[in-house]
Amino acid sequence: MANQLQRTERWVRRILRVGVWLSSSLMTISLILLTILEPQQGAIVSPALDEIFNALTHPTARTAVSLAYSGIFVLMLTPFFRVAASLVAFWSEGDWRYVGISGLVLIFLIGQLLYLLM
Amino acid sequence: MSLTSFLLLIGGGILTGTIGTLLGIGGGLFLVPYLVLFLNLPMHQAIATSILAVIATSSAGAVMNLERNLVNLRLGMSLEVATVVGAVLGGISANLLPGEILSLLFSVVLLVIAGMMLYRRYRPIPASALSPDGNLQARYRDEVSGEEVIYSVRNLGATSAISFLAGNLSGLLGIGGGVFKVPAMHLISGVPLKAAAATSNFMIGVTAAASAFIYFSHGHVNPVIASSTTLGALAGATLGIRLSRVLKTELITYLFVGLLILAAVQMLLR
Repeated sequence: MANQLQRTERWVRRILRVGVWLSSSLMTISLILLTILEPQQGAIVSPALDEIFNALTHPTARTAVSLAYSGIFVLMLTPFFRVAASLVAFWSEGDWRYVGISGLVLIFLIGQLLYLLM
Repeated sequence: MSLTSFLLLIGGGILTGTIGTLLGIGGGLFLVPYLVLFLNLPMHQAIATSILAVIATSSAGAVMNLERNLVNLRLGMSLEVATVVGAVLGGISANLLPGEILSLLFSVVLLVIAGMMLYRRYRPIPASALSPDGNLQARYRDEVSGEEVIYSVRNLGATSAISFLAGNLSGLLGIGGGVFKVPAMHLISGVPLKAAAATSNFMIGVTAAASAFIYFSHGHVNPVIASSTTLGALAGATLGIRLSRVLKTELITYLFVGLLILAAVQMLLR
């Protein structure tokens, strides 16, 4: 039981560590680039999800800003992945009670998100 | 953005991260007024920045607290169900109760909890209550005393009800529920304060994540402001973890009580 718990926690830790490192790296690079590039007034406006992908595929002066958005986006996704990782880890341990609980949390989170976005 | 603004943002983030990981709360209670008063940010932008700082604090803190065995993962996940359901219902029923009554109720509850925390400080949970033979058993090594603490969770139903209420208030008032969940885990379920704070800190990021997407999609996230504050929060989370390794539980209790009183007064003045 103790070993199973450690395995689950290791999974969750990995997801969190990747999320934190990736998001903080993107944000740091973005802040450095923004300091160097000094974007024109109005460059930092109206964030939209597709802006991130457009700017990354068509690099412009706004790429630095888009990197920051990417970092923020990764950060926001990290807790969702954390719950999903817990679910997978509990599943692999055969702890069905906590598979159900983690699944319920994930369903509620996604449901809340969809409800508020509509 | 001026260097002063950048330093103020980093400083606000560090403060949020430090207090968040130390006490298991989100930090929005003071970061939002800080951003509005010192940086003249619009309220929605301040809340969006604060939510991102909370996610950063929770994620970075959880990595370190999981390594220290302070997070009770199964307890956190169990309480998260009640919190998320409460938050959804709170969001839906936000307009049913007058704001003044809600603020008054919130303040009174916080002051009662502060009193209970102080009472418990002078009448600690007996060692017999930290029974290793109950539900959701966990153990960790207290780095201050060097002792191994073994505990189990009592009255999970009652603490789930408080978590539901915390989620509900989060949806109704736009505040994090850590100020309710940490005392509930500690006072009702017998979870040691450091483990309760770590478990609450772990949960808060999940609760905040759904709201973050809403603010993001509505254009309230300024990437420079959010990145600066978030990087500060990540540094603060590391500092908070280091502090919790050396600070005695008694001092953390007093800090928490001080924060509860501050939050109650702030809510009364709204």
